[in-house]
Parts: sequence; C-alpha cells; structure tokens
Amino acid sequence: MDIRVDTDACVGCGLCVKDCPMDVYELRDGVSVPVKPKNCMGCLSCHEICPAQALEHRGIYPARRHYIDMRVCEMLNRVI
Amino acid sequence: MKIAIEELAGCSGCTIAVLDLHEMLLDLVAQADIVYSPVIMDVKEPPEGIDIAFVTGAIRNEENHERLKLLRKRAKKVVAFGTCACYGGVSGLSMLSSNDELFNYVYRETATADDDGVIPNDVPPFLYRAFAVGDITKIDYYITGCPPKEAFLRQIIPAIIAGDTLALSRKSVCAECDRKMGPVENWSLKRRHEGIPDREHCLLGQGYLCLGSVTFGRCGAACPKNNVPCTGCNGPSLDVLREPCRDIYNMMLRRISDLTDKPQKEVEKEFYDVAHTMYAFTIGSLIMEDKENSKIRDLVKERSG
Repeated sequence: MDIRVDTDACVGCGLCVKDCPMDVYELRDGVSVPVKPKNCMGCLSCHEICPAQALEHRGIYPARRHYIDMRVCEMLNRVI
Repeated sequence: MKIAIEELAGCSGCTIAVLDLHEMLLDLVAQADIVYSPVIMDVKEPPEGIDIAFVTGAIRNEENHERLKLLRKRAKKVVAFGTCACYGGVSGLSMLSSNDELFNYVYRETATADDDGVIPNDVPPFLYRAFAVGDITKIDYYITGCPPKEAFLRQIIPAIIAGDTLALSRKSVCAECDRKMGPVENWSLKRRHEGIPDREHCLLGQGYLCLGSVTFGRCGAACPKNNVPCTGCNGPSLDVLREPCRDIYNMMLRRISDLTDKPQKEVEKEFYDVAHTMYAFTIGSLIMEDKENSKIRDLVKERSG
C-alpha cells in the first residue's frame, strides 16, 4: 500500500496510531509515519479520524465504494 | 469581461472582502469591469451579458429568490461567494425562530425600533425556510469563507477572471494550524469565557469547542493562531461534505472521544447550544441537512415551534 503523509499538515495528534487496527503508523518527531504499510488493509479509518486530512492512500477512494448524493458530488466538484 | 457582485440575505462582508484586495483592485478592474454591485456602486439592476456573477448571501425572502433567478439568466457563470451562498451561513440561523418571533424582535423589541410597533407588510415576504443558493439554482463554482479571506482571494479572483486553474489546499483548518494536538486526560468542555487558553496546545484538547478539524481551511487558521477557537465559518471540510455518514456533530463527537478516552455518551452530555456552536454556518444548507445523521432537522423543529 502506498501511504503518503503530508508532513506539513500533520499535527502529530497520534489519533491514526491509536485508531489503526493493523498498527501501520508510529509517531516519530511529532509526525505520523506509516512504518508498516504492508499491513494496511485499506479500511481508511485513519482518514476518518485525521483532523488535518494529512493522509493519502494512493488508489483507494472511499466515495467510489459507496456512491452517494448527486447534489453532493456536483457541489464537491465545484468547490474551488 | 463583465463581473457582477450580488447581495442577497447576507451582511455584505463578502463584497467588502473583495474591496480588501486594496491596490490589487486596480489590476482587477484593468482586466474586468464591475458592472453591477449594490454595495459599491449605484446601478440598480443587473445588466445583460454578465460574464461572471458572484452571488453573496443566502436566499431567505422572495426578493432574494427573484434576484438569483434574474442573475442566473443574465450571467454566463454564477459563483456562490462566501459561506451564506454556499451553505446558508448565519442567515440560516433565522430558521431557529418562528416568523412571528423574528418580526416581533426586529420591529418591536430592539432598542432602535420605532415606537409605533408597526410590522411593515410592503416588504418581500419570507420563504418558508432559508436556502443556500446551490439548493435553488445551478451554480458553477463555490468559494467558501465568512468572508473568503483576502490572501486566498488574491490567488483565486485573478485566476477565475483569466480562466486559469490553480492548485490550492483542500484540507481542514487543523492542517494550517500550528498547535500541538495529542491525547488528554480529565477533559471537560469549557465555555469560551472560561480561562485563557495556552498558545501551544490544541484548543480542542484544552476543552474549547474548536471546529478546526471539521472545517474547510484556507484561512491560515487565523482564529486558532490568535487563541480563538474555530467557529467553522468556512463551512464543512470536504470529507464531511463528501461522505454520507459524516456530519459536523458526529465527527466532533468522535474526535473528542478518541482524544480524551471519554465515552461518546459522556462527551455528548457536555455539549451546549449545538445549533449555534456547531451548525452556525451550515444550518441553512439542504445538503448538510439531508445527511443521515445531521442534527439540523431536529434543532429546527425543536426551536422554531
């Protein structure tokens, strides 16, 4: 799994470390580091909990799995 | 290039935010004519052939609705400008009171009201609720912010006029905040007037209801950096907007509970005045109201009587 952490955005709260069921993350120098990306099963619970939206899993998109409200999608595409 | 800036149910702060571009306004008017803007010029009706119309404010009465329809007809692109236009904003809070309560307050109870206590009937009547402009008509772009901050407008307005694309941050306020966030013990919720928050640690961890983690950024976290908890004026962050099961209330609850190891039920008991502390800027938005676990429906029902 290709996991990217936006180190500028990360606030070092450690919620992803606590939240991840597979212990993928560790805090190092106040920034979250995906130390075991191979363990990741792509549940994206870390995305949900991250206050700064600093995490990115390449190739996995939660909204593409369970499709939602047309109006929401329209609006989402137009927020600039 | 002709641009218009319309005022609907709002405070006109968004137009003032455009004026806050200061000397950059000269570059702006060199590229585009401002042909209609009730706050800064004297034209009463929007002319034909507008290229970009910036609509500020929510839809609360029939006049707002008519104006929006007219502008949609006469403009090629309509931009919802500011949080009122995007999510109903502060105007939406009027839904927490009945029309009678609102008119009584405005025309009779305020200190500056006329002594005769007459409620005028020659003004446009209210619609049954507040709407964001996107709930009523097709919108081409949304720019959030209450008002959109000047540093951000300096980037976005020239780009819109030139038709360029820009890569901008799409993250939450926390991503721009420099405070340290981490697990806390013995957490309890504080009102804003209680104590003075320390500058180093996360305001939410200190017990203040800071909405930074569920709020769209681009304000440079101006409030948290000045010891003021985020009130959510930029509207919901894009993950809250996108995911059907996420809402401002439940994401705040979950995050506080995870940070503090306090059960959600316990945290929930400490919340106060949810309509004003969490939904102050999004209560008028149908999109936010229609989320499965949104509290907006209950709040409006309970308070408007």
